[in-house]
Amino acid sequence: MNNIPKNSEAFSDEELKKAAPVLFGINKENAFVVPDGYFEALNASVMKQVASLPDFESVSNENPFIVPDGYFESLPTGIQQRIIDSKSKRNSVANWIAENISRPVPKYALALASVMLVIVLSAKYFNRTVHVNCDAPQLSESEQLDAAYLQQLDEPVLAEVYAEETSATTETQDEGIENYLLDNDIDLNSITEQF
Amino acid sequence: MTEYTDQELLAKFRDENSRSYAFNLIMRKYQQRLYWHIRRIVIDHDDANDVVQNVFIKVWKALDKFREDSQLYTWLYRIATNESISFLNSKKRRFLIPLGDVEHELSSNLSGDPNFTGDKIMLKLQQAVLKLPTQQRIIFNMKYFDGLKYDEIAVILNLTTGALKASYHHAVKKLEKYLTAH
Repeated sequence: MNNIPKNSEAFSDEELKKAAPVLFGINKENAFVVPDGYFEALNASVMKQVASLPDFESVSNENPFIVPDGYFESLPTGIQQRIIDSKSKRNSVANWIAENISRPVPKYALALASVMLVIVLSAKYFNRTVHVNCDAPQLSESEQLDAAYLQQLDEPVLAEVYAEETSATTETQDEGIENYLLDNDIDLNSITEQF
Repeated sequence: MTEYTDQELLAKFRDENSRSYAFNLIMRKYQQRLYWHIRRIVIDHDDANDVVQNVFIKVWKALDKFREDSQLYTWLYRIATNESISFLNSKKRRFLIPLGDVEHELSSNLSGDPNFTGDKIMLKLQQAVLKLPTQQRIIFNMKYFDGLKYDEIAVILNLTTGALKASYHHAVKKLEKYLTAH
């Protein structure tokens, strides 16, 4: 092993054998078998097949096919005519496309189209219907009428009416106390002396 | 029987008068090596028989065009390898199964094959080898069983020796791991 050059295949193989002792410890004797007399029969079988292959060298070189008289003389002309016909067909189709579809677009066409688009979109935007979702409770008919009446009144009139209502409420409260005292036979002077 | 060199055999083959005789000699010289190489790829004897006959038919048709830029046996090996791989691919297509499953099928058939007489460890090794990717399996067979050198395998498989070494080393490690674990 020391004499084997390190870059040689033999060294590499020796290293591998050390790394895989189980694998390289196996008896490599051929585990596959063939039927008796197989290789003799193989030779004969292949030679038989080879013998039955067609022998192309023995086939005559004579051409078995024929062509009409004057065929090769007229062939170049026919081909050229077909080329001209196919070109003119392509040209007519190309011309039609050029006239109807691939015309040069005017410079201002794009700008005009953009302006029209902005106008249409703006009209749609400003004429849109806005739906307002109102969650306020619905008023009764009398309340709606009162509200409509109040809207028509001036502010000073409203203030005067409110003041009258307030004073009326105060007087009503005083009368109520007096009535209570009288009903319960309570002497007002005795209450006053206590305070 | 007189032993001819490959160059002499090729010269005789190119002579129409001695073509069949030369071809017969070439077959006798290389049929077993090619058969066993094919057999280790396709496993089954009947399949190997079909492939090896196809190989020799192809050799008959193409030998007069052989340019002798490589050894005759490396050229023969290359045809045999390609035919074996084509055979496995056609088997896959015929039965609509992935190539990996073809090799699984070969592995499971091995244990009951009357044409396989290996002991338990050899059976385990062959089953482990069938788990390798096809090209790696072929490289392993050629190096481990056939004893070919890396530069010979490189010509046959049209690969670099570096790639071959890496593939073979990897295969060895995988197989050692499998054999140790099972």
